[in-house]
Amino acid sequence: MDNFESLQSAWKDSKQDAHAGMTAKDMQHFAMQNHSKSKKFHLGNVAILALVCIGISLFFYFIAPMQEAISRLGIVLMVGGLVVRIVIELVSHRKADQIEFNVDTKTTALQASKFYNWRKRIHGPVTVTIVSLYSLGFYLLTPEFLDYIPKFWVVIMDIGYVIIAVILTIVIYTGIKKEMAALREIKDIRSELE
Amino acid sequence: MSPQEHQEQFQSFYNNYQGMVYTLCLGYMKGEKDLAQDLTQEVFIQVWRALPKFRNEASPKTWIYRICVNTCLLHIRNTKKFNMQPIDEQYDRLVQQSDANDKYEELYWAIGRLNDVDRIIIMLVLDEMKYDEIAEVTGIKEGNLRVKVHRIKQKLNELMNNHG
Repeated sequence: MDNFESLQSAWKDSKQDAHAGMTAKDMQHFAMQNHSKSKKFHLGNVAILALVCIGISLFFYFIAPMQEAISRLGIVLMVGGLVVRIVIELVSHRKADQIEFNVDTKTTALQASKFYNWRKRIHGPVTVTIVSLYSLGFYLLTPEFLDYIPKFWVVIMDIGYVIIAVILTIVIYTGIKKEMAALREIKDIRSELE
Repeated sequence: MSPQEHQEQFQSFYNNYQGMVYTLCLGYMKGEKDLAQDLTQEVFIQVWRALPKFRNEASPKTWIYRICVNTCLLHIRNTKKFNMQPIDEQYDRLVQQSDANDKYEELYWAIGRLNDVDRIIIMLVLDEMKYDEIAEVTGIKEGNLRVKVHRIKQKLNELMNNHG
């Protein structure tokens, strides 16, 4: 028996012993649960962003209506940035859902690669622009805040924003690194398929 | 497809193909049973999602194989930690985890040294799929596939001869 035949024989034997360890009913419940959990997770992210957006809008409309044009521009930049982010999240979710697993591997790899290339474009100039405009919007509020809040607390608020921005940048950067690694791996798979 | 049909079809596919899927996942995960079970679950989650789109254009077997292969290949980015370990460390760990009489060590060791796509292709060959069926699953042209399989078999042969 040559090497390949011995591997084939071992493969056949391993199939005899194979069992995924779940009944069909259990697997069905598991798949159904997971399907709805994953949907809730994606929509949960969008819901959090939407709540922040609504919270900021209500705060500046009812509790602290700003009078100066520069402050209003700041609010528009902050809320506008969040709205664009929400739209991007929804589009991303839809695009990820469109990757088909039931077609041939070359097609799936191409679809996955298109998705991650799109994410790459989003992570680049788009995310940087959104974060920059949001931050600019926040600091445009400072002059008017100084009319109502003691300087000490305004400074604390501005410094606090920098800390939050640094943490958020690290979180976003980690996510980007992961997705870019995925893109490289998919590119490798595509070239191995050629 | 009604919810009732969806459930019945899913259960029928699971009962008929779970062994085939698990074996492929186990080979892809180089004999790691826990990872293979997780991957098998991931495959059947994808089957559940895609089932309403199943139109009998491909045979159920080919259709399930496609989902299985695609899930394995795209799943890789979540298991980077496992893949980053030197192959000999993985092998040592497998040997320690395996029963003393585990007869598949050599199989998983050999196919585990291939790259992901080659590993998938050779597992389909080991599963006695015909070239046209493998081409249908992977999208690789049949002529190209024959060359690849020949090259993979040669590599496996060298590996096993050197391994003793």
